[in-house]
Amino acid sequence: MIPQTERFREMVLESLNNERRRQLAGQVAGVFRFLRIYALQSYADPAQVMRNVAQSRANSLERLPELLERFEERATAAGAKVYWARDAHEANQLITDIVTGKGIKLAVKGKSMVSEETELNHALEDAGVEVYEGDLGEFIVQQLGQPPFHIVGPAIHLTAEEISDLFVSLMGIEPTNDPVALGRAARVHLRDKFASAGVGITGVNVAVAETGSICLVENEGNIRLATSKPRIHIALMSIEKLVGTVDEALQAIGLLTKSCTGQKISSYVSVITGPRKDGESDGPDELHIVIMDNGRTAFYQDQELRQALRCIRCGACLGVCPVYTRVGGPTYGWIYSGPMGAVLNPLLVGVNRSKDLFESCTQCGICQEVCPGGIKHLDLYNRFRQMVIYGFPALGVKKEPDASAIFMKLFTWGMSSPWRYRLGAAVGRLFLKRYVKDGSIKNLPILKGWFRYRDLPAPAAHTFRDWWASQQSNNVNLNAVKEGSVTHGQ
Amino acid sequence: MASNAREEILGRLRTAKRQVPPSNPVTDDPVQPAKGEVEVFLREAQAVSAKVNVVSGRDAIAQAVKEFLSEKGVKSLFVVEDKRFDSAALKQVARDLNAEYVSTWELSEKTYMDKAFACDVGITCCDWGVAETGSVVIFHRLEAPRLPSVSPPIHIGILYADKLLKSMEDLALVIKQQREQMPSAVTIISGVSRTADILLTPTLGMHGPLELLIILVG
Repeated sequence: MIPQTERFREMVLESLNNERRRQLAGQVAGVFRFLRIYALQSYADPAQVMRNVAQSRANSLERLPELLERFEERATAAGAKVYWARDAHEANQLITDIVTGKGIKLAVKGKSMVSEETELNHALEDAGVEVYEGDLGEFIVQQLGQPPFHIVGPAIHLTAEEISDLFVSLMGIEPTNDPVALGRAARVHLRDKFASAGVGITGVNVAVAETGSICLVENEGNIRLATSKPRIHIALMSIEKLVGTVDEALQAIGLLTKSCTGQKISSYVSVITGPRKDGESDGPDELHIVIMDNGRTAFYQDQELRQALRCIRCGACLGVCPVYTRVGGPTYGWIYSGPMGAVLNPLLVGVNRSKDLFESCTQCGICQEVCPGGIKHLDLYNRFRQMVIYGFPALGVKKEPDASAIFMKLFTWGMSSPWRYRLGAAVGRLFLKRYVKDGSIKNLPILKGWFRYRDLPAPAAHTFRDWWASQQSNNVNLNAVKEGSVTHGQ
Repeated sequence: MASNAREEILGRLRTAKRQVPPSNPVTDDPVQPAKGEVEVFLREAQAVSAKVNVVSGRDAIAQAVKEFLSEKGVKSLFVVEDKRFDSAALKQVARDLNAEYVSTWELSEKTYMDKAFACDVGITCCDWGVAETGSVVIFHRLEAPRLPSVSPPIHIGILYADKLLKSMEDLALVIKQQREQMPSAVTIISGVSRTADILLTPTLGMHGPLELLIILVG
């Protein structure tokens, strides 16, 4: 997916005008938000688990190079092959080389955000490999050539009719609006692909350093099929997926599924360590694990920005965000949406071109309360704002002319002397009065964006100073007020 | 180029200013995993749409399979042989059901794969259960392949009650005890495969089993 985070404002308006989508964004979020709260109650002490997982994420990041090396060593010892990729291009190249090197023409894929980050499907298709997404929603949007609508429900915005039309042309089924029947049709259609694919490609939810294992979380069974049948399994992971131990991994996964879909645990969790062992009847002969940086080590250098890597991609922040629940996922212009996107997209795509994402934040802070990684979103947004104002060459952030800063400087200068204040107020009133229409100001030649959603009341007939002067005779004697011996309006 | 990428990535991580926490002491986990309660397991497994049949002992397993499958008209059983059930009795069940009995052990790899995708029922033992989540857990190895519990439309998992753990933490302890010799895959199964990808409509049975019967023994 080509990032278009700079189109955020424009796409917000499109989303708000699309009533169906707007309602859906809110409904989907509402369902997941409710289920999350319910699922968390299954912990004796939910707050303690959240603290544990956040601590584990933070500690793992501080120990990241050691954990990565340990993981590589253990995974290699278990028979996996580990590769390193600096960026999306290198990762795609490594993967297509493995696939085409084996003459594989058909791949099945598990839903993975990092592979969308690298646009792996395009790279494989360009190399002549047919790729099928196995997850139902992802399969549907892939076939329609659309971006995923929601991190958990990629095709949740489509009507049954739209999906039926697609399946009729794709599989020759009888038209039906029954979601269950449509699911069955996809099951049948994809079965052959699982049975005949030469490679299964997945992401990684959590990687475990002490065992060299990768953990995969899913509900549909497509990932289990893709990691059991094909002779080759390729797993693509970004560097931050590591934790130290198996217990940390399972605890994080428990919180992940509760935060994500409100399930105590998803239908399937697979802990995979190396390829199949000698004599085993299934599982891949080869397990290739590609560890990708793609810009992460750059902001890892900054101890505050580093926390963005604590994200476990659960999407809890989406369900609670007052902005996300109005505008929906695609508005954010890239694969990561909601507060998750407002944190990650600036760092991965560029702060300047993603600034509307974090500037749209209402600063309510609910995302921080639900975040299993313990990310302080608001601190990061404020850092991003600073970067835009002062520039931040380490991440290539350019200083932007900031109208509000210029205005504040002028304001400070004006307010710091009585005569400048009086003169400014008089000139300002004259200026504003010219634009009064029906008792309010609807637009000005400056501050156009401000007037897009608001009107300014017309200046009052008299200033406070004028009024004060005219009331002089009736005014309260200040000394009397201090002595507490006066009543108002004396 | 690839090895350069490794050095570059690790190098940049290493030189960053970090507050490295003390690494967790590696202990041999003297803590024993806690046992789970059958009632909790039953409740949680049913909550994720698994069916559970509690039977008295090993001899009752075949009968439980027969009862579950009697009305379903299945044509083939894909069985992972195991000492934990009586395969002669299960073979008799297959005959009674008029279904083919396919033993995973006796197949060439090609036939194994074909059968895995063609059979109606996969019958496997499960190594552990987790009461907190109603899960069954399979440690995949030579004697316990992966596909029989995922590719057939029906999965029957046999679990002994003494293998019931209390929580995921206890399962983590059990897995950690094997950390030097991890199985190639550990699968934690909680209910049937599912999706809500179309209109948020919960749909049981997506790519994995549409039905899951857990036979809890003892």
